[in-house]
Amino acid sequence: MSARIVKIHYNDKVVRQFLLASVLWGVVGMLVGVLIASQLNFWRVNFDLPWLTFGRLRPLHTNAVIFAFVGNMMFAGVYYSTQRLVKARLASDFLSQLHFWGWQLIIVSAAITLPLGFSRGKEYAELIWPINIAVAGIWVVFAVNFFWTLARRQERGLYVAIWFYIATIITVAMLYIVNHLSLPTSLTHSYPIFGGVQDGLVQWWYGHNAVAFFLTTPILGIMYYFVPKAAERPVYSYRLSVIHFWSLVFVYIWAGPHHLLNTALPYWLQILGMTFSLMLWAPSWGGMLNGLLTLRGAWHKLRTEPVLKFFAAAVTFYGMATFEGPLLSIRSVNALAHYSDWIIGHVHAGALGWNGFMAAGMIYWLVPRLWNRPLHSNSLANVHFWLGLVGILLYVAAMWVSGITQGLMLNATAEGGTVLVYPNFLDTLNAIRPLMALRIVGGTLYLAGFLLLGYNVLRTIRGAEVVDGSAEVLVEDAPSPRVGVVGTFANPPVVFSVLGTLFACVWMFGGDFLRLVGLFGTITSVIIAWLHFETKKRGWSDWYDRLLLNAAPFTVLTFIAVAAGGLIQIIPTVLVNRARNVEDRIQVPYTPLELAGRDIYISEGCYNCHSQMIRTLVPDVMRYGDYSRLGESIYDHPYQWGSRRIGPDLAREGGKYPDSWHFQHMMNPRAISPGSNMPNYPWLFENDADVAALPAKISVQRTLGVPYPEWTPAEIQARVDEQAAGIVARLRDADLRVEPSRRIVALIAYLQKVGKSEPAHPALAAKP
Amino acid sequence: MFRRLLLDNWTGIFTLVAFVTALSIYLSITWRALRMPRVQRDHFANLPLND
Repeated sequence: MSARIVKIHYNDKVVRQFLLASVLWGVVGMLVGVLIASQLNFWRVNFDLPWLTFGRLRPLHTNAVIFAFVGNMMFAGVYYSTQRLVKARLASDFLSQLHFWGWQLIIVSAAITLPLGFSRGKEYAELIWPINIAVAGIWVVFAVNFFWTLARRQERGLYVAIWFYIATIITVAMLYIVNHLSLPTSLTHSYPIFGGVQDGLVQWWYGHNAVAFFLTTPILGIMYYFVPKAAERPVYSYRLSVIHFWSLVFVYIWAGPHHLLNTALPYWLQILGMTFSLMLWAPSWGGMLNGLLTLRGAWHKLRTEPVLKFFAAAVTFYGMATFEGPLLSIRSVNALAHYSDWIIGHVHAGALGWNGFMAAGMIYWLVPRLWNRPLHSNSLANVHFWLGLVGILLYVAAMWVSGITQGLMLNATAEGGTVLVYPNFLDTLNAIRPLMALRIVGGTLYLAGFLLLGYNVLRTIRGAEVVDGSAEVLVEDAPSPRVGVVGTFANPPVVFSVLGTLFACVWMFGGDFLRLVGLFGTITSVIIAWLHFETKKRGWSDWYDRLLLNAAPFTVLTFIAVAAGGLIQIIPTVLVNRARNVEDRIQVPYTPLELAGRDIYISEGCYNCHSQMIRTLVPDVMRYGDYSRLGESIYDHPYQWGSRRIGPDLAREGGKYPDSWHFQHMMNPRAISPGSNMPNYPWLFENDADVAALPAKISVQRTLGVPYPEWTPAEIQARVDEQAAGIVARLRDADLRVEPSRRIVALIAYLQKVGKSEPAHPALAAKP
Repeated sequence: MFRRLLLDNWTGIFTLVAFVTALSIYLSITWRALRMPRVQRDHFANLPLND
């Protein structure tokens, strides 16, 4: 065995680019956040302009913070740490630049299209289909660059941070692609292939795991690299980090259904989501303690080192948010908290506290090293820390109190539970207005702190000479113990796991005889696996040890681990949730005009404030009407169950009020509902609905399984004209005038249809 | 029978099976991590500090 010294010059240019982009987009994302927080309290801040309304800007805020601010920060951290952990320069400078500029182009496209009202209508997945394809393409570029770098590595062992990055890359790709599967109707519009509960389940499988695998696992990898660097000591327990990784990867992916508790989602999925959410307590807190205890013996440095201050606070917020998440996933707690500001407080504890502070700590640590100059001002960084910390605490505390207050008011009943104490939704909204104002203060303080970071970074790098890191590495030319394709799968742990899972599926899904076979097979697999393990321990251990040195099989098995949870939840729901299987009630498909109105509803982002899901809870039923059935949204592509009720639920809005009520309400909500914080929508009265696009839209809906007849464009137009004329006539009777082609007419048609269903007869439908 | 997945509560057994599966994986990984040789452990733990 020979050894040689290799000099490596790291590609830190792309790290600098992503780092600066993160600062820039962080400011934009937070600024929009403060603006929309203000809009909730002061409706005039919507300015009666379509591209500045809350419904359109809220997606811009969430996408900017998640994908632009944290995304760029993540890429900077991943590229910096990976090169050093595997002792190799990034594989391709071209791919690195393509990754950076491609990602920025995507962000700019999002920043233009979202305010213009181009939206898929699914949270954190609003971007239109051409941008979706660009995101998937650039993510592949990132993956190729990353895995190619691993293939050229000089350090054989894969540090746990690399494991977290691998899990991030493959899981985000899987989640993003599945949740964005759509059929285009035009260059800027598409319908998701899933509808109703299928769409809800896939959406929150994606939404929850966007938090898990975009905002958590890569940041944990960054924590496992940068906290030891900043503290100048190794991670507290490497063993604990191994347990942390595998348990998170196996458990996190199952927890998505906790976003749909007490809804029409099948009960078993709700319980599954809740149970796995509770199981997350253990690994999350294991990771938090590992991060904090890495600072052992370095706590005194917190007095002077802003980097460590940020890291310590960030990891503490990680612990707090991951305690709160499982708590909110308990069905009874969720009955109070869901649709309220408590959830908003929870996600901001994660986004501002965990992600934002990890980003700040990493940026303050990296900038002096990447520009070869001390930080311009440690004092400013300390001021940033305290401004940010006070800002988060104000924000989160305000949202806790606001959420619990509104939740209690909405659920409050009197006279033996027969009447609502606060039947007017606006009473509950106006009760939390001071807390919503406090949120603006907290958010502004946090933004001010981040602006100080931007100023500090600019002053540090102005006129500074950039420097790329380099290292000399002693490389041993010894053959690596390879696993290979056969070794990846044909080994005892994988074979017995697959056998056990297959037999368990047969046991659960099979008929009478197959159930017995499945039960017997499951028990036998477990017993044989145990006996084999007891007699051949060495083989099991050797395989695992080799796995830690082989990135490809490690990646494949990690993918299987994360895919299993999603598949078990989604496949049965996708296969079973068909019109022929639905009992009780089934949705009546929208007329062409109603469909056009629904697309306006989605485009304006109404789902950001209004749910369409009456939960199986007494106060919900008393306030909004009979609870929502599974079949009542089966043709909704995308589903519109929502996640927050800034306004009331609309699941049974159809027929509740006359057309004139909706007309006046959309023109000026306060004329109908004094104290409302809803924006005015004057442009709906001036612009025409996109009726010309309906033939293509209806054709796609038919492909997706919505039972529309084969209408010609002329027939569609005739139906639109007929229904619009009826609405205009009723409005005229109320002394209100509008052209039948205007968007408001289509929107009224849709709102009057929401919640309309007919009896379902699955048994009859199943007959030939 | 399969379509009853939408409506029946017996499917709550999924949760139990999934919990036992995840717990067994968790215990296996914990056991493996606890038996990790010190040399290997120290090597990995010090990787961030060996730039």
